[in-house]
Amino acid sequence: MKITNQAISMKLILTIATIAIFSVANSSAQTLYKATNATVSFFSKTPIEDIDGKSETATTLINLEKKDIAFMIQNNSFQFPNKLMQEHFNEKYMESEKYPISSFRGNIQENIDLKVAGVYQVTVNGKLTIHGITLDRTIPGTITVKEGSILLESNFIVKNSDHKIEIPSLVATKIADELNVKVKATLLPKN
Amino acid sequence: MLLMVNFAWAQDDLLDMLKSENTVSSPVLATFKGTRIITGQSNENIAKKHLNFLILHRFGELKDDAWYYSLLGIDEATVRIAFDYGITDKLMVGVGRSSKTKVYDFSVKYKIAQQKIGGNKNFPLAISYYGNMGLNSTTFTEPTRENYFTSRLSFCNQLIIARKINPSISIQITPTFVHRNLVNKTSDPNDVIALGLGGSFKITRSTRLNVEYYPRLTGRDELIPNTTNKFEDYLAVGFDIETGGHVFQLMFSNSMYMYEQGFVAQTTGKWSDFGIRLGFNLSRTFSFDNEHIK
Repeated sequence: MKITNQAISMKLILTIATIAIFSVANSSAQTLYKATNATVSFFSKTPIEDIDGKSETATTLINLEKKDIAFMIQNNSFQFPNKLMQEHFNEKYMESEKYPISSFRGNIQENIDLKVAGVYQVTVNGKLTIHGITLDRTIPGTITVKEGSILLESNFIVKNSDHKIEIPSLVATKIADELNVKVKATLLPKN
Repeated sequence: MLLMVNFAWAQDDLLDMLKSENTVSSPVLATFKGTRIITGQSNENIAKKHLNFLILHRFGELKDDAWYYSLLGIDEATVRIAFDYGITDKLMVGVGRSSKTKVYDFSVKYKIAQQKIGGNKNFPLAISYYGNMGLNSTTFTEPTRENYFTSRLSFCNQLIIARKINPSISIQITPTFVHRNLVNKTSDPNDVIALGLGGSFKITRSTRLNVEYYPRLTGRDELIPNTTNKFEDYLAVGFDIETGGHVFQLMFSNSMYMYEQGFVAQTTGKWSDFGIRLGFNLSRTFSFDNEHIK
């Protein structure tokens, strides 16, 4: 009898544990939102030349409970009006074969509940990796929480010199050191 | 259960999750710096709505006293002016004209496959087709022969198979089929088959060293007109310098021709006799793609 009792209680514990883990996995799935078509564009402005590149295939994840955000982009997905610039961007500056992706991972600092619909101004502390160089950055942004979707928007500046992207003196008048970066993503529940 | 715990834990790092879920294959860019490795075609095309303007020069042979008497052969410059235009990112058309032989050439290059790395759609090779038609516009010199318009035409078909092995080294194999409607003597073959070989080595991010060799598999016995010497296989060594919108290619080669029918089948210089020529290609690309970014 004793043995059976033990077996039953073991089974019960196992069942509860399984349910608990399932529900954890489930609830975490509901707090995860993802986008695979986020837009990232950047703009370099000098008196001589304006250069802009744009990608529409960046991927983004947000965890609403932990308020974590991750962003990833294939460097060679940036499109330029001038394809020669695009080739130079990948070959000479980003070195996309050596450093194929740029990424950001961070945490939202504000004490807000992202499960409640609304528009939130946020600051995100995290690590920005471009050209193999990871920097601690605080990046401002806007999060719009709606029923079934989340909109992320952010503008910030990336300095080429901070990420050891060398601009030869010959073209230094055409490429700005400070690039304006714009990010826009519509995230949907991740299943 | 352990697996599930692991799964739940792995979800903690969102960035690792993004990386592991990435299935996009990346196209391999800049296998070669220009649309030509040196004189022969590379797998590279001009992008859609982009125009490439080329000026190619080959100077006189450096043998004997020419290197100083005609200043590195510059006194005997031959020139080819050409335009290439990208109709799509895969299809490029071109037109050119060579001095001296007065040949107009009309070409088409199509990207059949692109080398891709990573993700679930990677592919190890870049494959292109290149074809051209040459039109010789010189006056016919033999009034006794019946001269047809088609006698002026010659053709080249190439399959271009390239691979960027790593960021510094690219190689290419180029099976080449040349057909000439009219040849010098009845004993000369109308068709010449060659196997082009090419390589490119990155020195700095703006300079490269290139090699190109077109050994002929058939037609090796054809004689240079009015001599007892046979034609040579084309071999060239070149150096690319890129400055913003220009690509400047400097080379030594044993041919004065700047289109396939010429340098594959009618190369006369012997490297061993210093029958080599200095030359350069200068190309400038213009974009007519205005609608791209709003």
